[in-house]
Amino acid sequence: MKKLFSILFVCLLLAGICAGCASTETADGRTVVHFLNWGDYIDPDVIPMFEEENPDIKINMTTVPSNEEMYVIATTEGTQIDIVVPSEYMIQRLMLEDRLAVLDHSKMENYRYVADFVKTCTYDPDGQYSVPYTWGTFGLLYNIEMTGEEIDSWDALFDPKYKKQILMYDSIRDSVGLALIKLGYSINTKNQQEIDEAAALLVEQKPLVLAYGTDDLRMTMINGSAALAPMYAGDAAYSMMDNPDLRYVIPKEGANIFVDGMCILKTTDVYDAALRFVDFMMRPDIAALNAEYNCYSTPEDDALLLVDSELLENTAFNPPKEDLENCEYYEHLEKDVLRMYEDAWMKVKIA
Amino acid sequence: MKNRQISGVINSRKVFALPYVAWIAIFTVAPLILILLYAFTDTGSGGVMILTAENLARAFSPLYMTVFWRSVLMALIATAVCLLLGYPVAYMLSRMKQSRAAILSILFILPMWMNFLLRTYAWRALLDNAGIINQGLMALGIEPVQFLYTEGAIIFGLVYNFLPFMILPIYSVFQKMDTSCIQAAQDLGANKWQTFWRVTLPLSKGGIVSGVTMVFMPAMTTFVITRLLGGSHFMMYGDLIEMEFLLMSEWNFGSALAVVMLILTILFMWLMRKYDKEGEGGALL
Repeated sequence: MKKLFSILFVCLLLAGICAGCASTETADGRTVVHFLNWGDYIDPDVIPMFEEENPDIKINMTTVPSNEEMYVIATTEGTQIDIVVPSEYMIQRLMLEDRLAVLDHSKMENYRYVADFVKTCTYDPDGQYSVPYTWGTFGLLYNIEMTGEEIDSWDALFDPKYKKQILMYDSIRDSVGLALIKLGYSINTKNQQEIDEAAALLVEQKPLVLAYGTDDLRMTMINGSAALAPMYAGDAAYSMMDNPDLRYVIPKEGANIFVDGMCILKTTDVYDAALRFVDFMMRPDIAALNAEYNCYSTPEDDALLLVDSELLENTAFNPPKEDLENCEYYEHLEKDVLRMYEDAWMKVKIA
Repeated sequence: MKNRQISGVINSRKVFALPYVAWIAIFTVAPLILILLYAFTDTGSGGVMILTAENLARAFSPLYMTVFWRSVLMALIATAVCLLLGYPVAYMLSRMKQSRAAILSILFILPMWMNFLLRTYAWRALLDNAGIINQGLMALGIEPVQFLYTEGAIIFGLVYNFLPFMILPIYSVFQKMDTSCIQAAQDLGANKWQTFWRVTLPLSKGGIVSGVTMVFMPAMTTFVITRLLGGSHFMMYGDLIEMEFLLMSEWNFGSALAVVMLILTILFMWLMRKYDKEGEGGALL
């Protein structure tokens, strides 16, 4: 009897947890849209503005630090997420796994503002499953006072004269990817030998590296504790405003270009409300607000007109379009291929 | 000893144990079962779950075992340093006047009231090349030292964070120790060293065993210190498990690694229990 009681207790607890996560309505009857976003990626005023214009909807935002974690949270059963903002390779994966809802363009007024060059990413040319939120490149940030010269190539990250002044990104595809670019290969290669070469190059580079990191690299560069770091354009633009010695370049060998897009998950119960929010986010004044806040480039020319001129002149925020010609998008890689990248990075980590 | 206490409680006041039983069932037993389930299975074609030992075999492959042994080594060094630093401190505390010892032990515990991450971030600022310590060195005319992002910094971080877990159990054993044994040894002609080696040390074994357990296990599984103080040059086993779950979405392989970790934990507990047959490990509680 006692045993039965404790089992019952456990079940009740579990039921309580599930009931908590599946709520699609607030106590006062507003529809709740669960929005899974990156940290520091939206102007804090934007959600209150939306909720004021749409009093029947409440946005519940959660943040994650990486595409991979976004995937884990969005696809774990029992969690209620309606809108996600993955990068293009993760969108591709979600599309392949049939997890995304088709966006109804007849209900989106603002899609027309999105520039063509980001619409034409190969994975979703018609914006059927995603609409671009931000775009950017993964280039090289350097401190011109410390390097003493202008830099235009990934070679600098492997140059012994910058020993212990180099920071590297602690992320599998970004780091293996930049080594692949330096070697003249594609960042989406499925060739084991090319990946091995990239791993060997990174192992060789290891004694030169001061530290591997992600978001914390920004602070180290602003402090002037290191001279060079590969960095996402948005983080670079932010850093350059705090330290005028910092310069951003898309190396001549090329770089990764990315587009983060808003998608609605197929599992949503609040499709219409979610779509209204996605459309609101594409309105040029809102896109401009967000761009000024997170320093990532907006894909809308009309929004650029509203952005602060200092930011507009920043080469990380608004790079010359001809520099983008060499840039390559990530493609979603199958598990077996991804494992080759993972093993390559492991070799670097244990070296 | 602990187990006997728990079963005693269940026999006499069963109802009060229920929240605890439920807690353990939901947050310890159920996740353990899930980890085992994930570790021995994989998702085959079409999303079907298949039974396989492949993930475990991969976890035992040389690439991942290198990370494992490195973590063991780092944790052992940190534990040894904690023991060497903590033992004399615990001894001195126990020989002080009660009031003074109370104040000093609070000073040891005080940092633990602050968040572990915050403290580690603070050390980053202190150890940085442009940090306070290096500025002080430069003011004295000494070349700045690269403290941050070295193996030494990781060991330091481990020792700093886990030292109180070594001091407290040893201190509590010393407090309860029957000093007449030591006096008897002295009366019978043992010199200071003989007294220490043959009386004090064996009597404090229980405290050492719980201290070592409480430092070694968390040191082995830690995962942020390597990132914050070690600049991610090296990976500890905790980092590896985190990476598999969060970055690679490889729950099956991540669970297999967690199982390897679990095996080590069980082996270590068994080893410690063997050295502590009298059950003095409970001295901590």
